[in-house]
Amino acid sequence: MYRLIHSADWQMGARFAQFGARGGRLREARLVTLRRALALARDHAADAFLIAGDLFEDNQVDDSLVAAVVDCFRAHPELRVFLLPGNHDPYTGPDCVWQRRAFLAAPANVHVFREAGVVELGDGAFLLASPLHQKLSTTDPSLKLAELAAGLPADALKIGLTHGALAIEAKHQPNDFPIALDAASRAGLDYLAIGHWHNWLADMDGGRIVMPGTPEPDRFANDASGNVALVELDAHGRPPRVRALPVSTLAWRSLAFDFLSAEASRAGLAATMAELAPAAERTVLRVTLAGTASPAALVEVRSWVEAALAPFLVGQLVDRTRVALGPIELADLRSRHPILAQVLADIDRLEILAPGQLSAQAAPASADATLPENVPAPSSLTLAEVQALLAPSKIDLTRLDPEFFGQLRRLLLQTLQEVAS
Amino acid sequence: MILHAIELTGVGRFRETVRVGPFACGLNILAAPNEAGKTTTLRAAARALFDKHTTKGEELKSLQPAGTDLAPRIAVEFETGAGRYRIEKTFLQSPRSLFKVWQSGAWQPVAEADAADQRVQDLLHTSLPGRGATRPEHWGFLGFLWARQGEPAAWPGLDDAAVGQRIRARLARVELDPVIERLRGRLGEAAEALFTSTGQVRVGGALRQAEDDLAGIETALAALRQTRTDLETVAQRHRQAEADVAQREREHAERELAAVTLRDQASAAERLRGELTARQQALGAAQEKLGAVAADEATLTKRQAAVTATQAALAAAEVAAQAAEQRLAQLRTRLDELQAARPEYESRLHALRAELQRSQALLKLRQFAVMADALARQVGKAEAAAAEIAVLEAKRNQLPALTPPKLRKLEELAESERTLRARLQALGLTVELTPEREARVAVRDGGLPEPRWQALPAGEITRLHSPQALDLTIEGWGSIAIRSGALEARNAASELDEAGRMLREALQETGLASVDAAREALAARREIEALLKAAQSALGPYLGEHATIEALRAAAAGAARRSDSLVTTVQPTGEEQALGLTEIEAAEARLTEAVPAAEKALKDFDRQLDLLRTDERGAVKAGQEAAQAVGEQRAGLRTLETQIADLVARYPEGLAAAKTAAQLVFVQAEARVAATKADLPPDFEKLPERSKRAAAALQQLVDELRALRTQRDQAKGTLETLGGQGLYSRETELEERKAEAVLRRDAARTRGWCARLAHDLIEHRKQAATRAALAPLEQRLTAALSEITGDTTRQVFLDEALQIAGLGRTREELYAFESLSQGTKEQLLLCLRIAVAQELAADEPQLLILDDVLVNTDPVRQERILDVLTGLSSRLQILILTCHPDRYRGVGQAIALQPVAP
Repeated sequence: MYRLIHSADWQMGARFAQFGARGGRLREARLVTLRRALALARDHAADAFLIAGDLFEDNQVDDSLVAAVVDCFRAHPELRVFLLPGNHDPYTGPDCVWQRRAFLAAPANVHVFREAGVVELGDGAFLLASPLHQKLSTTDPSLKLAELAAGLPADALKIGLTHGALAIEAKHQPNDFPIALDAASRAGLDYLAIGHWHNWLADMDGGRIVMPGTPEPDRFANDASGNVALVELDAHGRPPRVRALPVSTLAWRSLAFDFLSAEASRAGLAATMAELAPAAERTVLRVTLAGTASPAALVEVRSWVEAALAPFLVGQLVDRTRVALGPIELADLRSRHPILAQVLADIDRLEILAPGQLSAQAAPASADATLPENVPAPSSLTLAEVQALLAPSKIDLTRLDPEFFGQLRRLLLQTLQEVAS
Repeated sequence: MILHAIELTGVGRFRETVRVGPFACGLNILAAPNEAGKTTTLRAAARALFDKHTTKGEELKSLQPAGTDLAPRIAVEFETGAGRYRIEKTFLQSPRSLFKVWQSGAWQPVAEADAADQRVQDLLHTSLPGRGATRPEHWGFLGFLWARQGEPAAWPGLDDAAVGQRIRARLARVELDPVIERLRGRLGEAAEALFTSTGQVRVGGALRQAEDDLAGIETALAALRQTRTDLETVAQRHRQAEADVAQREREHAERELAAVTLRDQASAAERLRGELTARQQALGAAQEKLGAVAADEATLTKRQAAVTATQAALAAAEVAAQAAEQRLAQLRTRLDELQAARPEYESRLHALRAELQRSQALLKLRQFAVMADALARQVGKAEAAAAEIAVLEAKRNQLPALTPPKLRKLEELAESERTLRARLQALGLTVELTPEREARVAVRDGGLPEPRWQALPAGEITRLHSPQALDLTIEGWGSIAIRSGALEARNAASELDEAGRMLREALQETGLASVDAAREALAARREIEALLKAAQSALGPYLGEHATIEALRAAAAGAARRSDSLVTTVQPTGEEQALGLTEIEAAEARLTEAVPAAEKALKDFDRQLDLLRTDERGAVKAGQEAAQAVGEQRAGLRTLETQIADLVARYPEGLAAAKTAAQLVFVQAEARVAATKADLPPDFEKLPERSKRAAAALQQLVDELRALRTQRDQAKGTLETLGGQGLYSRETELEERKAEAVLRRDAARTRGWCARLAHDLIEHRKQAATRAALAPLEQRLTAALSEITGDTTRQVFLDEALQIAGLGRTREELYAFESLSQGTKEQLLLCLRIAVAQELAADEPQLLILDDVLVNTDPVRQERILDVLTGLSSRLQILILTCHPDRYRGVGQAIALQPVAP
């Protein structure tokens, strides 16, 4: 029996611009995960550790990262590690990551397939690899495996290794190295280890083609990632046994708070975050606030969520709320600060006049609000007045979106609260 | 604020200290003539109140007394709702500022320098310009309440946040919600922190910081991406170089193989070529050998044929030699015969020639004799002619030597004398003598040496003429001398004398007595000369070719001597002498023809002789040649025989056997050459050149390959260098920083825009409220103006900035403020200032200054204004500056400018 760990799409050095400077934490987590996967291979007495492409996010990653990755492999000299250049890190020549000093002086257990070739694994087993040399191609890289397999004994155990998208109708790009769905049986392979997509995908071609997905999730939507494949092969012609081994370091969770059911949302969010709290340092958490609320409620909930997000490795607050005054608050505001009530009505009017906002929901009208006797009822702002109003400050009405108006109301009411106190 | 007093030192016309005040509450009138210093005093007070003590510039320098550098020192005592104060400032020279407070009945200094300035600024709600001296818009309320001389219609704007807004609020009676005002202020501050009032991003603000950060990141990213692009370019170049190197290497291998093959082929061909050359040389040698044998064979054959021919030729030559000898003998015989006959020809010729010479001598002799006779006769005739000539010449010599020209000269002289004489007579004296009796008169004329006697018949008139003088001696009577006194007559007489003298001399020279004699002599001479000429003509033919008769005589003598001499030489015989000249001449003619004939015959004979001699020489030569031919043939025969012997001796085995052997060798060599040629490849001659070309192409390819490898290696080095820089990782870091910066920028901009928009909306609503409150103020101003002008038909209208828009029945039909008369403008603004002062006075006492502003107001209206001002005097301090004290007599408190004792 031949046992191996099949992984792919480590994307070492990946970019997480949406998290700003906190992206570094996520990159560091990938090295931790690699160490864990290698340890798992050792624990399962794997004969080989395959990386089916995209070990690196890009050929131009930093040397220190390359060295750190090679050091991970060096720490397991008993484990044969086979590395395949993928579309993110294709073998393109002297500038590619595979020609760095760390790889050129890699330990003996590390084998990089810079060109297509066959490696005898022992006991009649062969590893056939078809690396990528470019970022895009319409050629099926597994075709080369069929050529390589033709030169091997028919009864030999043959394991293929390549990288590309499975040619599933409407699910792949034509220039994304499309791999035939019967690539393994077509080439007479007992197992075809591939990589490209980031979610686990098996049971293709009679279970002989496996895409293990990325071992470390990189987005909130990758819910079938975070694994490597443990593959056991008994003999040529026998179906492989494949099992997913979770290895991810970080968990990516996305939660929501809806002011429509503020209490329930608060309770649910609090419970979930409490549940996640023990693993907060290994969790990327996003909380989305939605719905309409009073300024005070918004401030209060926002403050609460921000505090709750603080312990997490990466906490992201997405605010899609809308500030609004309740009838009582509005009446009070109108009675005590009639000009402010007029200004809020003007903001509603501005939001309506902003391009594309005609259908936007308007705040409760304030034009008919009760104003002091010495202040006549204001008329709604005309477009000319709006333009005259915005011109000196060079504010472009076309760039104002609902989020801006939400912030405007929040700022106004929040500042009012501050100056009133 | 109200004023209490002003002190000035070194200001304007006040070099010494003067004090103005104390001012009272209510109406104060500072009346003084023009240029007394009223306005200067108040302007100086404004500088002390509103300008920093360190301010410089024309506004401050204009305070200095004319022509001095004195430092203006000003002290102002004033009062606000907070207390009573004194500010003392010195400008320009050693500037200082001292602020004092009235406490416990005395002035207590509480601040100085900038602090003092700041205290006053805070108390009076004033502001400072960016640079230079303040202007009315910086003077707080006083900027509105001070109607300045010369500009009473000026009204500052109300945009200033502290003062203008307060006035506006007061005037419009809009009580702003303090919370909203704070809200507006807070929002304004928030917006100001990010944007300028014109909407520009504020330098140093958070938004600018974010934008700067972002720009820096973008720049770094651009550089990084450019590096990545460069890397891609280099990678592409490297791939191309790799492909090129591979392609060249393949080509190199192919060409190298081809070159080696070609070189081997060329070597083999060269070897075969050498072999072929050797075999061709062997073939040539065989061919040469065979040729030699064949040539020897042919030579032998030829020599044998030549022996035969030579033998025949020898025989013929011997026959020819014999024939030549025979002919020579014949010729010599003939020659001897002819040579023997020649003397006969010669002797005949000699005889003829002698005969001819004799005939010619005889003929010559006869000719000489004839010539001598002829000459002798000629001499005789010539001598006769010569004698005649001598006679004629002697006759001619006896005649005077007169020539026709001489004669013509004599005739001319005679004619001249006659002409002069006639002239003298025409000019001269005429004496008519008529004697009673016959008498004689001796006339002695001036020109005559002797007197001439002339008879005088009685009773007849005898006329006597004389040119000049006439001396008469009448017989019996005596002498009478008559003299002419005319000059012309004297000259004519003188010329006549001269002409007579010349004629006489000429005649004397010729030896003749008169001119007629001269004529006769000349005619005789001409006749003799004609005869002489005829004689000389007759002598010429006798002389012949001889010039003179002596020459003729000599020639005749010579001819006689030659004739005699020839006779002696020839000694003619009698017969010869008897011969006539004709006979001699006929004989000479005959001999003259015979001698050439004899000469010709001799020549012909000699020619025959020469021909014979030539034939003899030819025969000799032919004989010699024939003998030589015989010798040559004999020698050739011996040579041929020797050669034949040599050739035969060269081939002991026999010439035929030798030829057969040579033919065999030749055929074998020819076969070897053909075999070698068959082994050579086609175009083998071109193989070395092709091999060279192949080698050159290979070398060129090697060079290209080397260059391409260098390019590839350079690209590889660059790629390795760039690849190791972690460009993606650096870009990742920058992108993440950029995302943060973008968030910060967007957040700041949104925050700024929100604050600004909220602020502006509040302001917008405030202004709307203000506009709503304008109506009551307009009504108040309209009432005040009606009170001053008495006109109730016009209404005052204000604009949104609380500026006076104009006057009219309706807002739409108003007369704009700018179009109103100066007096009306002053009165309107006076009403507005009064309204402002009234409003502000609710908080604290206010000062209203009217500096000569009612000069354009008629007395009626001035009275009404004074009514109004008097009515306000309980609530305001009003200071009126005027140069018309009469108009304000009895009104308010009079103020004077008083010097202060030092």
